[in-house]
Amino acid sequence: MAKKKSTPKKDRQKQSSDFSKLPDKALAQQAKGHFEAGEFARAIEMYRHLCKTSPNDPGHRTALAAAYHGRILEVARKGMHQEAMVLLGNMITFCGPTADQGLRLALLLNGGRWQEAASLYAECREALPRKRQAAIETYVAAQLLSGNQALAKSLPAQSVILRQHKLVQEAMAAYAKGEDAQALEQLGTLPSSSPFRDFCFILKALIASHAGQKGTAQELLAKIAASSPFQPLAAACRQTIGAEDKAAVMAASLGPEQALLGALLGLDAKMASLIASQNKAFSHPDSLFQFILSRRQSFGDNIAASLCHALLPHLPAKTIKVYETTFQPLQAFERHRIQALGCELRHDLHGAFDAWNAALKLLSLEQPVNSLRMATIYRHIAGLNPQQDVPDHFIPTFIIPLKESLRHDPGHKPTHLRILHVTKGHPKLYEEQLHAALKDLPKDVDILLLASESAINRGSFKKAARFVENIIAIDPINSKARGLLVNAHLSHGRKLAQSGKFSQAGKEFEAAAGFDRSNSAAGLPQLCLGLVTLLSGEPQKGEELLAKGLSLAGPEALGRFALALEAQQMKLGSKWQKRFNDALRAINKTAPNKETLFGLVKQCRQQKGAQAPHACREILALLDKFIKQALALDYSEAESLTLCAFLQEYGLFPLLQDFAAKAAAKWPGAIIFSYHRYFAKARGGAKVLSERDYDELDYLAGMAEGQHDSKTAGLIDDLIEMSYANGRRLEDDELFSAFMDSIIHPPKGDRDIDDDDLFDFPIPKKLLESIEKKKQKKKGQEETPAGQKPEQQRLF
Amino acid sequence: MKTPFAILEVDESADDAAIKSAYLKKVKQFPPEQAPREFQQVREAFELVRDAHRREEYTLFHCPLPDKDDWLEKLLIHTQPRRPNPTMFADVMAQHLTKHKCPLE
Repeated sequence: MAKKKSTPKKDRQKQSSDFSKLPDKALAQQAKGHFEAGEFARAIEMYRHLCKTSPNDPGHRTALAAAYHGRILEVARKGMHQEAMVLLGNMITFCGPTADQGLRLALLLNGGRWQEAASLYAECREALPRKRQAAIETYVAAQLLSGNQALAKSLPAQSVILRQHKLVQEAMAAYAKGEDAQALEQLGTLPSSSPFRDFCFILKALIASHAGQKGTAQELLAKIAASSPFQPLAAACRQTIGAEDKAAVMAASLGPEQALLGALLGLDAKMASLIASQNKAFSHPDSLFQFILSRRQSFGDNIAASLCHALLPHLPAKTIKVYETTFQPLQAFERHRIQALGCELRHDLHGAFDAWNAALKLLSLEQPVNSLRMATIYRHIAGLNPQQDVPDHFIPTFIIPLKESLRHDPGHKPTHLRILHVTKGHPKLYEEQLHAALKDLPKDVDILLLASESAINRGSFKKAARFVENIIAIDPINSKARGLLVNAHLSHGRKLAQSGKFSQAGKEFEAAAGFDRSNSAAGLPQLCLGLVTLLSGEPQKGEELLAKGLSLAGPEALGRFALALEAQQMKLGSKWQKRFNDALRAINKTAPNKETLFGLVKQCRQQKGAQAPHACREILALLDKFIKQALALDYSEAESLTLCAFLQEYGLFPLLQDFAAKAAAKWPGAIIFSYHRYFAKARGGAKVLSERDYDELDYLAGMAEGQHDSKTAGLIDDLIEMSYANGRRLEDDELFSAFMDSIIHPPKGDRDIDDDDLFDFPIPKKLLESIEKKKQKKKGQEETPAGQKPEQQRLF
Repeated sequence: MKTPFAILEVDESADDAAIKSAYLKKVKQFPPEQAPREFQQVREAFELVRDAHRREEYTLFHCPLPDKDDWLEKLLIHTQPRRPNPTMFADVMAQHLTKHKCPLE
């Protein structure tokens, strides 16, 4: 039905006078149109006019009754029950008594006219259509169950509905007392067509639920129609039967439903209200604390105390006193612990340190001392310090709590490893800690590995070999340890060979060869052994060993490179060195390949010791042509990166410039190759670049930042900074910034600077020079003859 | 949120062996392929208390805000459903009937 449009009163009067002039047939057509459009008020006016002008036409009266019916429903649906009743009276006046007493009865019930409703119900009950009767009686039953005394008193005492209501009340009373059998018996006496049928389902469902038959209960509740007035009760019961999250059920309830749900969930009214309001209380720890305190009795002392206790670190320190006054005093340690955690949560690290130290002091007085607890707190204190980029001067302080923790818990490996990690840059501290770790954890493979690495770095190869042998005794298949052991023997052998102890060196190399079962050292022990054998005066045996070593080294170039490098490191003398260098130079005549090139990279990077980079650089220089030819090979981006980094590391700048230029052309988006190119051009910062190059580097740094490649941007910045050391002219604005910076942050004293002070500061010499140079340049440009204008002028 | 001890169903004073045994029992109950969420919860609980060091750390430094569900559960755990009296039913009905009217047709 279309929604009726409201018509202003003036318009209606105008329209009324208009339609009085219309012929009946036309007016009837219009009235029908309004009726069909849902404009019942207008239709009523027209039909009433037609009933006056043609009183003998029964069709108009029937149509008027239909229009009234539509209007009554329309008004009643808006809750205007009295107005609907007036319209019903008008309908009866103009159209005669209606046969539909159900509408009148419903209007009386909805209008709260209980007496009249009860009277009409008694009169017309039998005459009502069965479906209509059932709907009205169910509503009356619901009213009776809601405790509507006015209606109950108005109904005839012997009416069926009142008799059934009494039975239901008895059943409810029996149910409330837990007398389920009696309740079911009472309910059983009600006919299946009873208006209390839906309520019976609810009561039976609750009884089934209490008996643990949750499925049956849900089935019974499912029988209640969605339009039933008992549906809210059914919904409440449905929520509580098998409710997993009781709190959620309570939180979603309001008013009387809360009490019913609370009872079904086992909560008294106060508790039900408390839980229903929980969301508000959770807005802040403080409001929750107050909430729990104010409802302490509902919670019970133990639960309230434990909840408030858990909240204490999240609240201001003064809350601890409130807690202690309300519940019980805290132990001193616990008070400090809560204070410390609270400070941590508020990012007050000084406060946290103080509180933890106070807690530690208390623990230290206990007998016996709880060592584990003390160690745990010390470790925690160390963890409160910034973990990244610990300044060097702070390391000794940083490790104090960690060392303290080890005093109480010596075998805590992660702490040993942590200290070793942070003291890496402090050899003395590192060695001390390594010694302590070895004492506490003598059979720990990780600690032994660190000890052996450290010994190799210090040149204590014998010691390193002992550590690694211990590891292999514990873990015979530890390949890292085996590699270290081979290296330790090789390094020790080299050391002995350098001092002319060829026989002892030979033993070390033999040992290295013995441990290198998988040839991970690529024939190096045999080559070294061959060299010392030659020097010991056994040329034949020595040559045999060298041949064996070369065969184990893989590509020929790698073996020859290793040999030349070993000869250099062992300082064998110019005769031997020349022989091996010449042999290596011969490689320049062979065609390069990637396997050999990357093999060289690997070999160089495996070299240990302070002299190794220098030796590598010298020997690599002999392969200059070979590497240059390798430029023609096709590389992936990752391979190009490895090669550029390698060439940069060993200072092979001309080669680096070529490789980087080729890669930069192939991958123009990869700024790192441009950086390598400029690094080579600047000879690692030793050579001054042109202003244009610096501008290009600035631009590249910006591009790298734009690509979120902060590593490359940092490398470029470092290169630019190196250039400062080589006399790059500072830009005026940078000089000015430096000048301003020197004013704002004077090196001595911390007095405030006034505006007037600016005039007293000496202008830096460099800035003056720069300004002077600019002036001269400008002057030169102005004085340029007409035929020799500067670039800019010539363009126009 | 339940404590790791509650998740593993062990006493707070349980030792390493008891905790490991409880963990393995729970893993059997919630295999990762069948109950990944529960397994994850059990795994995380075990990691928090698997040895004396971790248990000490948990005891000393674990201080999350009390979980809403946790304290409500504490409150509701001992409650037993009660039988509503007729007035409770009547009140719910009375409130509902202020809006729900007798059908007109």
